[in-house]
Amino acid sequence: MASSILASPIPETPRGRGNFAAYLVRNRRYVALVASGLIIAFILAAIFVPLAFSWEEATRVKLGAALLPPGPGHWLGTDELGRDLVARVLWGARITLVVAVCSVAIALAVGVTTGALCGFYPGTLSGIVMRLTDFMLAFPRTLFAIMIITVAGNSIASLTLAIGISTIPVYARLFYAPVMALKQREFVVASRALGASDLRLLAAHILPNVLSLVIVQATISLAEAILIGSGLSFLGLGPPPPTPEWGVMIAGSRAHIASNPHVILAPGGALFLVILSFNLVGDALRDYVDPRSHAGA
Amino acid sequence: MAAIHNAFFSKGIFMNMLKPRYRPRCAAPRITLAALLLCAAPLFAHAQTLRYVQGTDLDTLDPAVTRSTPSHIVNLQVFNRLVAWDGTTAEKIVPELAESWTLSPDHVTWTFRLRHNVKFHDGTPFNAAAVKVSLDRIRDPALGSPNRSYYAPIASVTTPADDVVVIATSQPMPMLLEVLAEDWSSISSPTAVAKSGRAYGRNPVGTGPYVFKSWVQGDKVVLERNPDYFGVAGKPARIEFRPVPEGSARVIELQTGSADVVSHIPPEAADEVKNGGKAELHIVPSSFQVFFELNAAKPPFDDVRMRKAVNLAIDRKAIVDKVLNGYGKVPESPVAPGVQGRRTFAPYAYDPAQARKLIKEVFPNGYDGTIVMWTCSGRYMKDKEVAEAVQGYLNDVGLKTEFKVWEWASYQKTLYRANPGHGTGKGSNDANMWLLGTGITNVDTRLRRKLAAGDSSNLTGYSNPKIEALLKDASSDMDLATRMAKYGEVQRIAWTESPYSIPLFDQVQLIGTRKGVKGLVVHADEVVDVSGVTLP
Repeated sequence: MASSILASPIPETPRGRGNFAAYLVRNRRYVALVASGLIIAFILAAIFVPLAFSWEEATRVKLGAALLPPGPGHWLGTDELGRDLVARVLWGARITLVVAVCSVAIALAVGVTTGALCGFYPGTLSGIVMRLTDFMLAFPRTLFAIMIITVAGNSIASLTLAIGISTIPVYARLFYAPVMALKQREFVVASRALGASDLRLLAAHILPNVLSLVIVQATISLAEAILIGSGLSFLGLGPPPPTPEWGVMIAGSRAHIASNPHVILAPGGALFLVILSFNLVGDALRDYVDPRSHAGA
Repeated sequence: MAAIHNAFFSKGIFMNMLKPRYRPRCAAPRITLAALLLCAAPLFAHAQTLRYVQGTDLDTLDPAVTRSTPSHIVNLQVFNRLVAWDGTTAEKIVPELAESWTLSPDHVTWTFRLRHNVKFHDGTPFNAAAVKVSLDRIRDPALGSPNRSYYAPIASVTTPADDVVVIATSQPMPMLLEVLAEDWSSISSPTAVAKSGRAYGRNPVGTGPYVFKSWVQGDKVVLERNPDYFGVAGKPARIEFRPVPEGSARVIELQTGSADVVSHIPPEAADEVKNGGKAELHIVPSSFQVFFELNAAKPPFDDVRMRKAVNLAIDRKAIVDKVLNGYGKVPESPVAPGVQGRRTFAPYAYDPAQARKLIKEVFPNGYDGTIVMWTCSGRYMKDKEVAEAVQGYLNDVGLKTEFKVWEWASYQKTLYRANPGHGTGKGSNDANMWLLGTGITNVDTRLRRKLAAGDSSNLTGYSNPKIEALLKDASSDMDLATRMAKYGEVQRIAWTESPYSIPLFDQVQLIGTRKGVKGLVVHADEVVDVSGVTLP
């Protein structure tokens, strides 16, 4: 995904094309429209879940109610320790969202700054930094994240940090080349000739032109962060029980897949829908901001 | 000569068997014959080979060194000991390689008369010298066997005649026969030990009903029937042991007929095995008990009332029924069934109100610290899930908890790590409670390592003068009945007066066999004797 963006030319900020939703309707991309709706629902659920279910309901063990099938009272049934699956999946959405957003924020903040500065000030130091990011990119991301968690310990914070740090090189690499190219463009050169400072050039002229790239890559990174996060949790590197993290829930319910499939379907389905939605929306966003896909539109 | 060889083999049937696809079409009848032979060979072997699938791979097959059940199961077929437990209960010792034995009136000299005309698998004759080599080897600190401490009271092993071994002990040693019946007292061929040196664990040679053939790590161990066995000959011609770590994968092996015996069926798959029609499920009591040990060296569990309180806070019946699908037992003693001299008591009641009252007695404003709980995952039946349930029950009586799941190897390393001067003196001191299990059937070993102050396996820092005195008395008491009574009293103190742990459940063994497989002998410590198994 990252490579397809790398290959595309510098996109310009879309202007006069209407908003994203209108664009989706006009181009009959209804699947992406539904996916956007799902993401909004996911975000709303993550924010407002404490109003519907207490943390107690999501974590308190009630062995008497273990493995109840879906039905009134428990719309998705209960898990192997008698906890309501709706409560757990929704609290899991909150944890997933926090982990994904925070880790992408870390990666964005450090990665974009590094990439932009290295692109703006090419030289020995920037060469070294970019070789270092190449080295990090060549290293498997999951393995890198496992290393960080092994050092920092099992918790939501270290999971976030691990995903964030392992995503930094993606952004650094992504912004290095466009910034370098933009620096040579006439409007930047003209502004510099008028006496603009480096900070002003970066903030007022270069960054707005790579903003669309940030948005598209961030959407895709969110999906990747959710997937890596739940994958690490599945392997036992996520937050400890009874935290209702989706990967932890899938690992715990794996043993019941034959006898009580609803226990694994709840977190598995949620994970599937959210990641698919982010990917679909990411694809649509890329087309939306890519001027070439709007020829004649 | 070469010409004759070529003429014969290039047109012969052997060539077809080796390279059938390179032959022209006209060779079809011969290919068919070859194919028939090729098919028949594995069919024949299949009917004679017992395929045993277990959950973990072997560490070593050196009986003096290994402490793991999967290795004991293989060694039981390859080796004999001087004496053995009668059947599957730890009640009576019977002769095996020793024909008889006598004890001197001062209780320190044991004389064993050995069986005649027994040979090791490599042809070496079995005699007193072989026994001496095996026993001296495990007692030698240079070998570094973790089982060496059991032999500490032995002063010397001497061989006055070719068929007589004399074991002298420094003090009366009531446990000698029990130690000699253990897997680590297996008698190895002195020739093989000398030949293989440090690699003996991969080339074991004994006198048992099966001869060790090969071992490919992570794949399989192959044994073949010993035609010259002195006892009752084994039934299957070959036995293959394979490790399959994933529980559901083991069930599939059983249901597709690629295994004859499968150990450690996961409880949630038990009904599937039972009702699938292709296999039979055997439910056998186990000497394995799973428990949370409580750190007695620091608050809050340094106070016995808190240890009693958490024991009342747990609904064990619900854990057995819901988490273990009913495949477990609510403990009635600090040791599980199958352990020597076990005494039973009334199970702990589930009484959260009483638990809260006890906690209030100790901490009138409630305990405001956090209880650090450690557990392993996948080592014992549903260990992590049971630990999560316990966490829920502790929260219910108002205790705050912090939960950590460990990978087995680092868990063990951390728990037993020496940390002198800090609380328990072990790495376990960083936690308030940690989940463990044990299946040791020897009552002295089992109680001593958990309850004796200063024992290297006592992770809780527990010490109780009454228990110390009882264990000391028992270790030199030559009368079985009064010795067992002393262990019984230790169990009573550990159960009612001053618990050191939260016993959670007694494990049951779930073993699956292909339909028609008969004659499996299962011991309480999860060791299985397969030499008498008949295949359908």
